[in-house]
Amino acid sequence: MSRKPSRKCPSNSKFCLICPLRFFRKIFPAKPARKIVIGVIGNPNVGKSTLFNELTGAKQYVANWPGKTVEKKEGIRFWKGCELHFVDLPGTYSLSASSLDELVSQEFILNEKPDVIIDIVDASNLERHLYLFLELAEMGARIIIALNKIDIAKAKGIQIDVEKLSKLLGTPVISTVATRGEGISRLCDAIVGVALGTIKSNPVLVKYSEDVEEAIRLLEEKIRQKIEKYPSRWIAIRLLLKDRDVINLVSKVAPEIIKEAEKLTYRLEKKYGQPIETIIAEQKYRLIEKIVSETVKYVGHPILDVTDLIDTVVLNKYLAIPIFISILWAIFLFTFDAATFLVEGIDFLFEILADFARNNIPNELIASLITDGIIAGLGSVLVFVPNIFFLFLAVSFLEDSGYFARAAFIFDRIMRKVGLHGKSVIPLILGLGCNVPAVMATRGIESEEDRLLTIAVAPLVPCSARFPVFILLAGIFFGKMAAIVMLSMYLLGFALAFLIALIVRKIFYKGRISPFIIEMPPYSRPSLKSISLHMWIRGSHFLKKAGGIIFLMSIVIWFLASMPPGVEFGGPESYAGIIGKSLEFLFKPLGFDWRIVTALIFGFVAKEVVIDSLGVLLGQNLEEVLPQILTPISAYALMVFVLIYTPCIATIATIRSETHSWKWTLFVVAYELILAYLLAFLIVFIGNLIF
Amino acid sequence: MHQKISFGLAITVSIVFGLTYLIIGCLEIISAILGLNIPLIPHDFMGGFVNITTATIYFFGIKELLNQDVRGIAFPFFGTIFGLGFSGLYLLIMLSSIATKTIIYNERLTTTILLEEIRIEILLLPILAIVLLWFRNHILRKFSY
Amino acid sequence: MRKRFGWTRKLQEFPKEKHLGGLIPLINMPKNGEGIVRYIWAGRGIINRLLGMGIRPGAKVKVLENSMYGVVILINGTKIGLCPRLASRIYVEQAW
Repeated sequence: MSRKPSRKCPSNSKFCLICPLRFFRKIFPAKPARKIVIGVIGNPNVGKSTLFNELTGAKQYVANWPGKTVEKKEGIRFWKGCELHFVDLPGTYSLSASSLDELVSQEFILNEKPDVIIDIVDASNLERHLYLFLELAEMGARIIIALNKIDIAKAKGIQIDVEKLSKLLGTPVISTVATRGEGISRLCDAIVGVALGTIKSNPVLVKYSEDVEEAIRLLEEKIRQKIEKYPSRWIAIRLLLKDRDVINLVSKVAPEIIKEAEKLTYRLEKKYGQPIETIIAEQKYRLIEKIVSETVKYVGHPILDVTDLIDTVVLNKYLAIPIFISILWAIFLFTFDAATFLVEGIDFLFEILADFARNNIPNELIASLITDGIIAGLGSVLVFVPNIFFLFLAVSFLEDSGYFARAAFIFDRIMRKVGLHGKSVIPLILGLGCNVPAVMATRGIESEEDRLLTIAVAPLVPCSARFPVFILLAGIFFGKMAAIVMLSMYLLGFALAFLIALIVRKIFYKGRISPFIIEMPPYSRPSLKSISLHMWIRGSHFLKKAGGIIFLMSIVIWFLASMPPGVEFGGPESYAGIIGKSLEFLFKPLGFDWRIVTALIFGFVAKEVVIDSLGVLLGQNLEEVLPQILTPISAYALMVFVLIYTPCIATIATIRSETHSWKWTLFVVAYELILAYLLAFLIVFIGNLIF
Repeated sequence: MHQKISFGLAITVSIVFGLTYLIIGCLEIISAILGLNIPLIPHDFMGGFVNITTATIYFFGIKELLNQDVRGIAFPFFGTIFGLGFSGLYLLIMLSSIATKTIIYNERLTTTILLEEIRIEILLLPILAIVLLWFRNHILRKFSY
Repeated sequence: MRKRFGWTRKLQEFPKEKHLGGLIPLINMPKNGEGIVRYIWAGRGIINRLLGMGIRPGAKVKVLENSMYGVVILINGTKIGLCPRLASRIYVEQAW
């Protein structure tokens, strides 16, 4: 892929000569369109993703900010002869609280100097959103305000004088309703206008109180002489605010300015009796209040709206947790039971396919490769695709509706006791379906430490892939008690997750937990369009990662089980068998024989494969064969081992890409292996003593 | 702003639905533990838990409504949404099972199959829907400007 | 450039006693109580986060829920949930 698709030509090959236009343009290149770089920023929950999607259509591509784990989303739109290059900046409330998201945005604005910044603002809640705007203004950006959600504002009885607002803020203000795609063309016109200079954008700068302004002026004079790259007023204010990165920057060039700034800050703090951050913020808000009072009118005021009504019940002391558990159960039902039709359908189709292949392909080796390798492997992945998509659908629905914020709030207290964050509850719940989206869901956690910790324990939650292993073994070995044994697996998974979180927190982070604060957006009925979009994005991401890897590994497993040529498929002579036999000694104390070991090794790829491998290696009558090589105690130990030992390859890949650190990924893999072995050993040891 | 909602009606609705869900929930749990076969009641421990939760939501509302507190209307309102959500979900599951049996396994669509898959919450669906519509038209309008 | 997040700061710089006359922490506010935020006793990182979300001295706040899970407030037109620890460090002047 060496070419970005554009609106006129979706081809992404550099050498595409399909349509005459491309061919023509290769010989007679057109005048390059004027490229405009636009940063899109705004508070969380303001509709940034929706607006971004509307602006760029499907023409987006996702990467990572260089050197960071934050996702960078970019997209293109062609408008009036210009190439609008949009960059999605992480949603933040301000640009001063030193989280990774804010750092990324700050660096982008200052270093890459985009032509335009679109600040998306919630029309139904102007007071809060203008804070970010004022900070952007101080950074010297050329801003256009997208006044989003005006439909909601209107419904709430809020009237905004857009012209006056634009005048007071000094920038163009474009009303939009991102969910309906309204205002997009006006926004693009404004972008082109500001970039080319035909429309003015001079964001208003906060005028602080006299003593603060005096301090800024003193610093600015000195800064202007030494630093040209960044706006001097902004540097001055950041120095007063003790911004560590700005201090680093300035100390390289003019350390004396820093001492001066310290003195000035000390004086101001002494005078006002408040930390400098509060002093500066308060004055920003004073300007915001003034602007809002002149431009926003409340035509009607509801006493109670639906959101408050629902929250009265959902946040109720006694009802909160039962309601949460019920919703969890609903997700579970929806993911598994509602999708049965599609699951069975796919299973059926694959069986037909396999039979067809087996009967119609002459060469036995290739037939085997295709049926036992590719179709079996692909089939095992694709058969749970409906479940995954249904899971993502349910989760997207709940997330977009706004419930997750309440769930995180409710569970924060409990999570805290085990060293986790309230926002970790969602990833842990998602882990019940599949660990991959669970790891991806940790993106909402601001603090890196909490996030890493959640990622580390998420794989302990029993995912749906381990379910078949449990059901099979529990059914064969424990008969009537099967359900209780299954339940014990799930409880054990969560218990271990909490235990490990507690231990890691104590050892690595010395017990520090960051505070919990979350915005609870108004409940909204998510549009079919948006939840299907989310479902599709997550689902295809998952498929590409997991499907690709599992597909590859199925072929590898098939190869190891069939070679050297002529051996019994999966027998002791095959490469797979040799590997199993060589590691058998490690697992003898657990009561696992070499076939189980081989199955476990293959299960490293994906836990479902454990069952498949057992079927391949032991024949189809597992109910009869397994009790011959395993005792009930060892069977239980095996279940525990499968529960805990290393995440599947798809999860490992996801952990690596989310944490950007091989170190942490290896740590997770290692501790899980060790824990699995220890626990299985303990079970066998104690089990044999008792029984 | 003066809201007038008929507390009496809301309380009656709450009591009726609350008791209904309580009974259904208890039956489901009991049949799950003891293995009794009651028509329309599946052996579903968690399903019973959910229904008892719904019943509790309705009951909580009664106390608030008795105190003439307008906020009390939130409980039967949310309870109805909650019940409706699950009824819809159960309907979806029923359709999926029926589709699986008829289309994939090629069994004939008989009343036995329908009776196997149906559960009582699905039958409540139309009633809940009507109650919810009533809420929207009469109660929520009163909260606007 | 690496930035960290945590309760780091010399809290002794701004002793809360100096400001406490007549103020109560958010966590002691009754449900449906209203007031004005007067002082936040926390480190730099937390303060910046709170400020960005609108929790700042001078802002009118209304307590919507106050239970063992934490405190839910309506401030600056936004509904925000806070853990009990954080709520105990935000000092409010009660208004009736």
